[in-house]
Amino acid sequence: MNNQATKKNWIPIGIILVIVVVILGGVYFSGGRGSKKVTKIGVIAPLTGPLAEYGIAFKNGVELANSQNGNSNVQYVFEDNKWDSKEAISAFNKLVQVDGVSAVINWGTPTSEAIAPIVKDTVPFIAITTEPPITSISPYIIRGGFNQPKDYVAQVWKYLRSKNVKKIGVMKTDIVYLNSLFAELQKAKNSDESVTLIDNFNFDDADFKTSIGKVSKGQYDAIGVLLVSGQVSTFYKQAKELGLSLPITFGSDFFESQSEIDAAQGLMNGAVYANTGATQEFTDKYVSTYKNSSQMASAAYGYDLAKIFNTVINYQDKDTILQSLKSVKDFSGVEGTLSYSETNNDRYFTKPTYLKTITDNKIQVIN
Amino acid sequence: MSIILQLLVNGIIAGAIYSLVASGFSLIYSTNKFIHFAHGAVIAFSAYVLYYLFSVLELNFVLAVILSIVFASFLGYVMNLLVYKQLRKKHASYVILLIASVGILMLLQSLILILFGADIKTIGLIKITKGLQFWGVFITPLQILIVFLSLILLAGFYFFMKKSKFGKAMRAVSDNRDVAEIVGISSEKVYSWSFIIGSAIAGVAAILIGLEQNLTPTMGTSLMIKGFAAAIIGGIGSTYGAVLGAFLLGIVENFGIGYLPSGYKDAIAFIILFIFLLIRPQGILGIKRRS
Amino acid sequence: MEVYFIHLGILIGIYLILALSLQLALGYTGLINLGHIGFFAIGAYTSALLTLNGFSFLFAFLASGFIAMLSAIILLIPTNKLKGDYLALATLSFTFVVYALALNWNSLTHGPIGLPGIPKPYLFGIHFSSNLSFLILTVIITLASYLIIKRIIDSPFGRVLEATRDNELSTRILGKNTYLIKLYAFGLSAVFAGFSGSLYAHYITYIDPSSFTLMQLIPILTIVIIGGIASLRGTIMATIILILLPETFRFIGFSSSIVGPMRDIIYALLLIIVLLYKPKGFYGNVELE
Repeated sequence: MNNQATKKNWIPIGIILVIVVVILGGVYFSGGRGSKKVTKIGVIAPLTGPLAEYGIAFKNGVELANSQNGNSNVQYVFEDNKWDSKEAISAFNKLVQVDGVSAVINWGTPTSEAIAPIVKDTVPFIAITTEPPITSISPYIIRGGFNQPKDYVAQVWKYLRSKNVKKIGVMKTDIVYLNSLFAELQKAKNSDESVTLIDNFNFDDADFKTSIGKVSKGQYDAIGVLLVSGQVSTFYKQAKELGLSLPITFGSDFFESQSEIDAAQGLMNGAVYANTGATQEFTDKYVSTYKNSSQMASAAYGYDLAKIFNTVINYQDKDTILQSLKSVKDFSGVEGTLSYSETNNDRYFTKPTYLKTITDNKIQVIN
Repeated sequence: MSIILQLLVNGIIAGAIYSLVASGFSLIYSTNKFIHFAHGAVIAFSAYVLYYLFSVLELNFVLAVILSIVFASFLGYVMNLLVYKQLRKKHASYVILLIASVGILMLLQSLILILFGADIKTIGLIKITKGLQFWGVFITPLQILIVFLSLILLAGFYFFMKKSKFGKAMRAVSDNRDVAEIVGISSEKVYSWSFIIGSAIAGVAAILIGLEQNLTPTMGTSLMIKGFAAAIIGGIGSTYGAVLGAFLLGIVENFGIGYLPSGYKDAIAFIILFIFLLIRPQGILGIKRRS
Repeated sequence: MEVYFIHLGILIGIYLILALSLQLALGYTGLINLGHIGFFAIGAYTSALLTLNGFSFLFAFLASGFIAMLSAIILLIPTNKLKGDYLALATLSFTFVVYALALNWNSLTHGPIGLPGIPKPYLFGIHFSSNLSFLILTVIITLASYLIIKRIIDSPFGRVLEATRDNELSTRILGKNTYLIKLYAFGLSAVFAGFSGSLYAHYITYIDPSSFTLMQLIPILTIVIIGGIASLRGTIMATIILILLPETFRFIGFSSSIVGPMRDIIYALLLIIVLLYKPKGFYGNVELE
């Protein structure tokens, strides 16, 4: 077995050398610990792949805050976690070790769970997730972003009970966030009420017809449409086409999307959901800047987190940063009033949860 | 009884959608002998082009449809010209062509993301209304059209492959390229045309699927996987077999999730695929190739 | 700063074991295995589930190789008579089947929720919890895998493997039981794939089905092809390039609105360009049929 042209075989070694030089150079010039004056904050979000809408909206929110309430001493470095654990860990390592960021924010539950074990005592880490167990892994982890499933459920059940709803049927996509909502719905029910799972779907399912066929008229007083974006409008469409007249319907923060509502062509009117909110002023500014109105809630908490980092944080060292985050109280953000809260080792930011409904193809806050 | 009928109809509709994907893919696979994964991206991209022409630029719908199909066809032709043909000249194995096609898929999907963003889009041509009802079963006019067109494709392929001169040329190249060349068939021309026609079918699929479902940047991948499974079950080497395989797949899937949780739909599809490959690898209508 | 490099080193090690194992099956024995990521997944889940349920890392690690091997045998027996691209198709659908099972078998794999909190290895009294210690463990296992595979390839058995790849019929005529030979090579490649899956699970400490799709197979396949069929050296080079190259993209200052997809576009373009210019790979000397 001999090589034909030994000259050609130097190419891969050459490529590797070039790559190593580029990486080392990049590492060197990224400044290691971060230059004295500018503090860097790492933001990891799904910018491609599943749920990219959320990641992109979140990133836009951060950038919008930075352009409006910018702090010349604070800079944001963005990385794409591609909704993949390996990528998330690489991104975290690069941000902390190479860019020398002083804090990291990561969007999404699975990726946050992958990063949590390596946070240790490196930098404060804000995980955008609804899973409390994550904060017990390191004292530097705080949860941010979504509303708490408990708050969501309280609002939704209150509304449903006011309409005499006893039997709930749920169409659910199998992801952690929606599973928590479902679990909380079940926990909060009274003995004469029922919460049944109609069917369980995957991320990229687009055909709900057979499951819709399993529902008979009047079987449920309310149907929970706990599906992800794209699936929500498809569900309403297919229900209509199959002649199923829907009772009261409710959803999750995946309803917070004008493109979803438009796609449903009016069928979502009357539906309710609970979610964090955003001022009209913010919504208008965001839409005019990005020409896009999907996932406003995600953009809003990106905005507020950036606003917090830009205005009230003491960047002396990682512990003062953590302390400032914990001291956030009655912070006025576009989502309303934010405060840091701690219960049983769970550390998170609270913010108001609003019950919203869709009327006239527009989102309206009810309470 | 009407539940079973509805399951059957759901299965036929799903099968029709899969067949639109599978037939174009199968045509390309049986002629070129490699798995052209980027076919799904051709469908996705064409659907977005239709969205852009019709919903954004507000062109006349028929014109937008024609342009989209032409675009799809052209995209497939260019892929072959720039990438696959060059690889074939260097005697690249089909594994390499497969990897290249995945590269193209990645490229196109990222382009869609940059150009159109990550949120869902719809082609809002058709107003959502209650479907037509026959014997307790619901089906919408669009869905009827989809099934009808896929059956026409089925018949069309049958005649094309069996009777037309070009169909025969395709089968000749697919069977044995060297011998085909000897009798005067230009294999490169046949390859080129297989992409043009196959991708045009992808364009048609894009129109119909775009109207029936929402558009997302990654819709190509999921469609492709099902289309691939359908094509294999129906028989590699038989384009009309792909259509049959697609219907079989759609029906079995829907009956399966009539009784199991919906999440199992993909698992059912792949297990059927796997079983077929084990007991009848040439699929329902395929011809077992001499080694 | 070192943590970043250690992380990359660990990834290179894990993927090198996986790529070498595919090279053994594909490059040396001619088995077109597009289901290889399935063995990786089986190894990862086996190791994760066992350690999460109290078994020792040593046991879990060995079990992950063993169970992966069993699934390889189960896969090969019925598919043995398939030729060329039929085998490719069958193994490809194996990838899909494993993914679908991981996604839906909730009672076992927790479905899309995944398995968080996989413990770091505790072996021979050492707790490999720091990155550096894990790197050392990875290097040892990678080196061992490489040496074992090289030994096999350089041995007379290696000759038989290549003979089977090049001309199975002739090899059979010469009296060799190619069926057993292929079974052996396939099973062995699965063992190493399972080991790399175990290492992966214990390093990332969280696995879910989305880490084991077709898209994760493509880089491994690319490594074997671009490195060169039947070239261990090529596999090593290609693995290093494939892991490190995307990292260089992080240092190119793309505007944040396109940074995500832009990196993918560059990666895809480079991939296509390399394939166009070196379809036999850099160190390859052999053509697949």
